[in-house]
Amino acid sequence: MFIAKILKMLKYILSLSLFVFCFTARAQNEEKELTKEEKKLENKGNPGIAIGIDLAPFVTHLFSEERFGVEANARYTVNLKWQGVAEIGYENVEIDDEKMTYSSNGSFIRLGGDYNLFKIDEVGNNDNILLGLRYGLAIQDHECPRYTINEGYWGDYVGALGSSTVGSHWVEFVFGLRSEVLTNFYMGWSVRVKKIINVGTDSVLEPYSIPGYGRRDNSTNLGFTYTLEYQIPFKKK
Amino acid sequence: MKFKIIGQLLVVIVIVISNACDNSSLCLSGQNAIQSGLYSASSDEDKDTTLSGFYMWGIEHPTDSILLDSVKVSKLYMPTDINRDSTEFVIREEKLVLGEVKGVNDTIQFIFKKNLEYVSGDCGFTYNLEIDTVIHTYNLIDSVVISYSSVVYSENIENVKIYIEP
Repeated sequence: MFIAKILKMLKYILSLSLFVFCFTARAQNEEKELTKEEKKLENKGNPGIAIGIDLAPFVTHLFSEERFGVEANARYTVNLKWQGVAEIGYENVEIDDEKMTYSSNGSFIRLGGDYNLFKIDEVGNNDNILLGLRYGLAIQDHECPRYTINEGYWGDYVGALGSSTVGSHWVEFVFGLRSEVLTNFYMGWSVRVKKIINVGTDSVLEPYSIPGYGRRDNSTNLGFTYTLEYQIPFKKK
Repeated sequence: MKFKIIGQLLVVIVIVISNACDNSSLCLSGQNAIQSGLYSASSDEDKDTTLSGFYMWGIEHPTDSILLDSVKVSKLYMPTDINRDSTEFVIREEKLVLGEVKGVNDTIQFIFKKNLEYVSGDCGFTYNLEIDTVIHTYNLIDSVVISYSSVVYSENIENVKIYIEP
């Protein structure tokens, strides 16, 4: 039910953002041509390296208390069109309910690139509409010190599964918006469709959640990021 | 205009995929029960039969609790004790003969192998069973055939045919 609400909210944010960008782009296209002086300064996409954090894991923790994570990213803007991205993070899962006691600690890295669809000649406008691809890899230690199988007549069965280290990997298709809110400070969000390639298992125990991917029960997950970034520019403006 | 077309296309893709992903898991209970059908031993073909005044309870049950108490049955859901590798039941049919209650008992034992399986994060674990042998006495029961030896989570298939004496 909550996921449905979030998806609905994302849909409206997405539609609204696109509308705003379309409107802005259209209005700006109607402006007069750039002067020679301005053309020297024309938009080259603000090349540089940006580092940032993702606030989405904190929001996730509010609604899925068993999961706690942090995530940081580095973005290398090559030119107006292309950006290389690396994202790293950590996730801890602690579950203690009638079905099982479970814990997991793991880290992940995502590598990939974004293509900027938003091209505008306005000097100083470094906003981006991004389409991207990521490859994700996670390694986690997890264990299940207790699992309980309910049996109404004979009584419950209680067992345990020891600790193991497993690796999983996946791909993500990214759509996002990124905007320079202050000089070299960017704020952005992205919606991601994640498709699992392989889930690591070395026993019956499977990960409850894969760091960076989300709930393991789904072979396709929908993800969301909300990032704050600082860009170290290559050259002075 | 270009952005608008791309944007609308992406919105549709995101909505379609997100809806496809929204599959909330439903946890099932009683998935360790052996499903048995009662058949008449007097018929050449498999023909369902019904027993009235039917009782069933597990042997070595911690509280000697009765599972079925004077009911009419044609199918049995026989829960297994997954703390052990076998489960034994007493089945009893009571009939009123000339104003007097007469009962016939049988014991039936299922010997099985267990395989632990992870169902999901929400539903936890289950044991799937592979029925190896069925041993029984011959008062009410004529014979028993294992028709489908696997007891698997979320499958609803008859595992055993119990042929009842005419």
